[in-house]
Amino acid sequence: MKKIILLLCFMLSSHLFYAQSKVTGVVISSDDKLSIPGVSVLIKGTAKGTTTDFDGRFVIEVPKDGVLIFSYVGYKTQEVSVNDRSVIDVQLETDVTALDEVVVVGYGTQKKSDLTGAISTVKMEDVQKRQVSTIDQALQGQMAGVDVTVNSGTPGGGVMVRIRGVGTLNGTEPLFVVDGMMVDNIDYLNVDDIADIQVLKDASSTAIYGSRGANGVVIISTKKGDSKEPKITFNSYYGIQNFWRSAPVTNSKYWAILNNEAKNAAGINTFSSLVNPSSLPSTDWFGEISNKDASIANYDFSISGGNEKSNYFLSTGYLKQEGIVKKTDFERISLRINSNHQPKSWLKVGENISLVKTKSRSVNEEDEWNNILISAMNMDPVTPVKNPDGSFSAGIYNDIFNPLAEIEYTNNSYSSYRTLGNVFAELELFKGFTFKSNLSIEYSFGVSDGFNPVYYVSPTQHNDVSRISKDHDSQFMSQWSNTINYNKDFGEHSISVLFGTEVFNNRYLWDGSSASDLPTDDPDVRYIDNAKGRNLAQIYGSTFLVRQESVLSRINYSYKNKYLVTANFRADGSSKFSDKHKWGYFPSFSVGWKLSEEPFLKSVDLISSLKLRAGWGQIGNQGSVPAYQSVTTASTGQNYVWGGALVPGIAFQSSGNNEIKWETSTTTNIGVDFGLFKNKLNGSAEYYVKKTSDMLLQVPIASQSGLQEAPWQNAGEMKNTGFELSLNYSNKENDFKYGLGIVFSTVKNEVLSLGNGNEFINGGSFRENFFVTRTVVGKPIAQFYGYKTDGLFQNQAEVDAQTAQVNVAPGDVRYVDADKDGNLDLQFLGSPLPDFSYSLNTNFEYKDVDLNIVLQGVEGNKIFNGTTYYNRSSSGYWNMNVDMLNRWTGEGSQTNALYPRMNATDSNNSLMSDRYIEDGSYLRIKTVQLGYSLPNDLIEKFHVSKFRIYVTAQNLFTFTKYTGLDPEIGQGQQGALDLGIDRAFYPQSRLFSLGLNLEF
Amino acid sequence: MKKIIYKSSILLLSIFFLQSCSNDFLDTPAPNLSDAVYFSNDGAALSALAGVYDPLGWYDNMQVDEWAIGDVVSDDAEKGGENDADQADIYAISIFNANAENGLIREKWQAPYVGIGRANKLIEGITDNEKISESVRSRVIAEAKFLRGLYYFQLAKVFGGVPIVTKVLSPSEFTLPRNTLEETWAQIESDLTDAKSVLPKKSDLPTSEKGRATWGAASALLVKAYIFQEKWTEAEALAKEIVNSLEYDLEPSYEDIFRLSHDNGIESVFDIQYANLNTGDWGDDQEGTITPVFQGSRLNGGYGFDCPTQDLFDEFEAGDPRLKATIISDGDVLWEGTPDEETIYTIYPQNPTGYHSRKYQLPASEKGAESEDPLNWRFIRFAEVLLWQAEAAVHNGSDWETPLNRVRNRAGLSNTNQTDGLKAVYHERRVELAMEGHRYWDLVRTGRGSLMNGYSDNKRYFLIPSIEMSLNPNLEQNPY
Repeated sequence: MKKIILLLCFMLSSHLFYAQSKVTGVVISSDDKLSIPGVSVLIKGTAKGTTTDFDGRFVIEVPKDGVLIFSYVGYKTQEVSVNDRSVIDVQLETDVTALDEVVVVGYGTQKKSDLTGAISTVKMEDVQKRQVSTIDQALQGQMAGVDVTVNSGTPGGGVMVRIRGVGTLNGTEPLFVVDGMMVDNIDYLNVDDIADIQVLKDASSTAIYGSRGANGVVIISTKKGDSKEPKITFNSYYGIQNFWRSAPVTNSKYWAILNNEAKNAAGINTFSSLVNPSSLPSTDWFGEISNKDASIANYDFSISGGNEKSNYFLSTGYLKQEGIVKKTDFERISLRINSNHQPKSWLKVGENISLVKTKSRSVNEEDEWNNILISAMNMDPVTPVKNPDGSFSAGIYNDIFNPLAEIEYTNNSYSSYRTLGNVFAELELFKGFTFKSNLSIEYSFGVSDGFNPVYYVSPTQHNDVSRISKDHDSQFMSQWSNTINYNKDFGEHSISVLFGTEVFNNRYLWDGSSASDLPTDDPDVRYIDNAKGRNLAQIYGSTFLVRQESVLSRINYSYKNKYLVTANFRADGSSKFSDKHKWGYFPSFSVGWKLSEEPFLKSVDLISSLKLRAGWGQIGNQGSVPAYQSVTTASTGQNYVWGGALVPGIAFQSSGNNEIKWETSTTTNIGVDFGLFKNKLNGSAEYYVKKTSDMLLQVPIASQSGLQEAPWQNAGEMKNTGFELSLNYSNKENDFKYGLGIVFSTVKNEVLSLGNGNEFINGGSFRENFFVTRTVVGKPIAQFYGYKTDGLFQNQAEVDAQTAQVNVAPGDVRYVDADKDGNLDLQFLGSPLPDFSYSLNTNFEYKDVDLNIVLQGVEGNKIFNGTTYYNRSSSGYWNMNVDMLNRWTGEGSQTNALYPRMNATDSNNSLMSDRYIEDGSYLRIKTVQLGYSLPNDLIEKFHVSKFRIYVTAQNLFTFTKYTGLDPEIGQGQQGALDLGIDRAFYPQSRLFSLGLNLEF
Repeated sequence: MKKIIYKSSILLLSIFFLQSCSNDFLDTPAPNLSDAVYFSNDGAALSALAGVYDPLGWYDNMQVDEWAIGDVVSDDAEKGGENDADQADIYAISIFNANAENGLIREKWQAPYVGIGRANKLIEGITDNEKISESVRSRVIAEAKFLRGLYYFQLAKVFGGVPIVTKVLSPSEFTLPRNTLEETWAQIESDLTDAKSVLPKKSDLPTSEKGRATWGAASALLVKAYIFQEKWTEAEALAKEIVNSLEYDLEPSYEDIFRLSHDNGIESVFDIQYANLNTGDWGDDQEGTITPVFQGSRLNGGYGFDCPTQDLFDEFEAGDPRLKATIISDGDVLWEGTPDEETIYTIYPQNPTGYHSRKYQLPASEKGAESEDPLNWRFIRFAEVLLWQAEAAVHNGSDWETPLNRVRNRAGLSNTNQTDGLKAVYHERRVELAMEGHRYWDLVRTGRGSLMNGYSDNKRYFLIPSIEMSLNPNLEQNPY
């Protein structure tokens, strides 16, 4: 009997072993009955499995009595016994806890439903549809409370990212963390390499990053391979770009009329060459500097794959973008290797390595004196680009340099070589207890080349000796983070503890040299060695070193998976402060309550998820304070001559302040996350108050201080109060899928104090004539400040009726003397900060066709339009805005202060006033993309799993009252108080492109 | 296996904790020299002193602005250049329409304060500092005081009384109000008196130190301060002392005064130093002067500024050889008989007067590339000391003819036959010192401003720059 049983067992098992059969089936969604591609189909108890194809079909060899596990993100996992069947169709139910994706938080991950802080997640699909050269540009309009402003449309140009408004006057950029590594900027990233992006907004989520997270944290994870079939993708697009708007300046005829009128009014001789305005030829300088139909091309190729123990992701990309202004471009070649391995059951190791080379050519675009765009707007239209002999013409009517000659003779390029990498190891020492060590290194090297050939355009625009310059900068940044993590569930209690230390080191070195007199203009010999003036080369070089040390900790506790508590504590030590102020200590706490898990809500069908959150935290900031500001240091190059020979001199141009210490911001945040109608509609809303105290800033100082640069001080306090809302709705009906996303945020800023003795702080100097903004207690920062206009003096009686303005005549601007004391009064003229910003993201998909539209806008902000200082000047000196043809020409002819009379010696109408302040609100159709995917049954024959072509329009339309080149005005070079000041920045382009996504 | 895990975990954890918490790691010394250690030897004091001299040479402080106001605003010259808008700030001043945003006037406020701040920092850094040798210490302090006095003089001339700063300020002191004009003059007198008691004589300077402040420079500047305050007795006595020291003499040939080879020459009491370092840069970015190219004829590669008027031309007596050495007329040949020989054309549409200024022109062989020109600015020369002596003597009723005739005789003219001393001195100053940046200040300090079209007494001092008014609410604005 025993034997029989044994035999039976053997047979049974062998039966089990050998009784494989082929099972096929289709996986569909129980919701809409549509097939689901990519579902993982695994044989229970084995590592064997497959995934469904694009039609949701699968084929698998499975024991007749085996069990299949079907799983897919967003759906409930289902187990199905084979039971001798050969066809198994499965309906997966949508998982109402779909919010429960895992998100990356500082130094770890967390289930989204367990978060207690304010964290936004970006949908990478939408982001990758944007055809922009850098990822930060693509983030525009994606998240509530995250404002991205393109500072400059120059290829590869700068972007201003603000999380929850301007929280401080010092270092307002958020921290970027790429695969655990803190980096200064993310413009090196290839958009196609990014897997997901998380933005930590409130103190309780950023506190784990301590002082570096004071302005929010953007966490980026790059793509990883997985154990599925290896995947090969190829993405490419090609497009053309143009100015979306051109400069509204007059042609020769009208400019000559206005210039003559201005001269006559001032009693000055007019230009004899302008006596007959209608006979003059015209030059469209703005058109001349434009690079029409500038091209952009991008190619991206990647392979990923792996098995249970190892996976890999390899990619390479190439981007080449021409600028819409001549001689500007950007090129990037990038390469990435990411891999993860699990050599032992208790050990995981991996690395992410990225190599990038960029090269850009740019023109002077930031200052208001002679940047190329403002030169093109100001240059008189009478002067031709070139003389009959082919040489560049010199303008004789004003002192603007011929902009085409400027472009021709400027040879500046910057190449950057960056290597970024991190290696990590994670040990599970015993169950729930892991130790992770992550070492990141960035080494970057930049070379800036300049060459100024010999040329002569005019007595003022010429160069007699050629000059070559070569500058280098290199940066070595390292960061070593070590953390221990312990997770444990005790019945209904679940606890997770993180403890760690981190050291950060940033060494920056720069040097450069320049020498004169190269024998030829040949680009191949542009090296210092070939310069005849090599022995008289000018050289410079120095360094800085910044270090930081930190201890960090976090406890997450949850009870019954309903009540959640998080506490963080971080201590940061910085080399920037003197010994007594080096360390800062920053705690935070937050709580969450999953209401939808409570019995009284569980039965409510309408609500699929609902969570309330509240948090409080403090974070330090040292932001943009450069190294060594606690000491007074000597600057060289302050030279003089004795006995005919150079005497090298020094000066102490600023004053160190060893009392500077950490700036601290304290945030209180409450939020709610919700999902309704089976999560078809989900979203979150946040309200917060963020108070920043001991603000670090360089308070501008009077010249009598004897200093040329203002010292850093801890001065003042400010408050941001904000509300954020994001809503997403998605649904499908048969073959029609659609989604709608709305993002809305508003921030109210208020300065609470400016420290000892500072009644106000001026910002944004314009032509060194006046400051454009003023910051005072009780108002938001950087308010425009100047005279209020009150129309134009219409007749002599009106002029005589006042005493505040002297040397004025009818037709001049009348300013407001608010207190009637006979003196003009400077007043606040509006805010560069918007009342709210918003965006709208829509997706439609019908069968093989998809359409994506992104709208983005801001409302309620003002812009100082610096170009009108010139183009609506009464002097007629620069080229004029066409609307100045409506200038005042006699009593009653014009009452608007924008259009005063012409007067070549005017000094009244050019004062800082609301003449230059315009409404900066805009709504922009950022992206429209229409795509078509070839049907699967067609492409499968060619072993292609995806073939999609698409057309995109970028910045298709902009609805705005603003009259400048572009209403997207970020922060100027003069810092946080240089806001909303348009110095004729390089505007964004309108782009049309054609693209291809290919996947094998 | 478990053992290995435990051992390695202990090892790793110990690395992990050792790694942190050493304050040494956070001590990153600055790569620049800090003021705490800077003043450690004589060389350092001299470098900082060069830094105090540095603003003297700045474009906006001296190079252009001395003649832009001194000549152009006065009846001696017109602005010239391309048109009214070329150097519009100078134009605005010249028609007495300089608002508080005028860039040139702004520099007139800002640059001297940079120099003053540097002087104060230097004086504070080396006073009682044993690391600096006694001789260097006392001389460097005296030079810093000379320069501080000079910078305050610049301010007092343009703005009247200004906030007096004689130490390194703390931030709470950055908004001190203006001192009175009397207090400002007192500060200038005190600095120059201190300086002249220590500074060496010019004849004791080795060649390598030419250009540094001397007893004579400090004394002459003090005479000028007395003259501006109409302290005639003090002025005459001190001027006499300078004359009698025999440290200075008149160049035998008037024309030679402004030749490059006569930089720091026998007649030079104090020159602002310039040199061509052959960098090919714009002159002002290095140590060159841009005055020669600015004043050159537009038909000869210059920018055509600072054109002498017919009124000045007519002021010269018949046969006064100084005329040709001061004013270029159309077709004049410069550097005759040398390889640099050049005919200068001065009649063209943009030239408002048809003349150009001669004194700061350089022959091609001495010019630097791209306006990086050598040629010192004659800030005080001995002839002016003699004329101050004469002017003070007129007011004191003492012998004014001797010093005045010494100036005339050098030019080859006979003794003056003018009996009105003041008239004689005013005439002599105008022609002897023409196009050297003095005329405007002479007119306003002697109450003859009405000779200039558009001048009125409330234009005596310029408006304090609006940017400074907004940074320091305690400043009181001038009438204008």
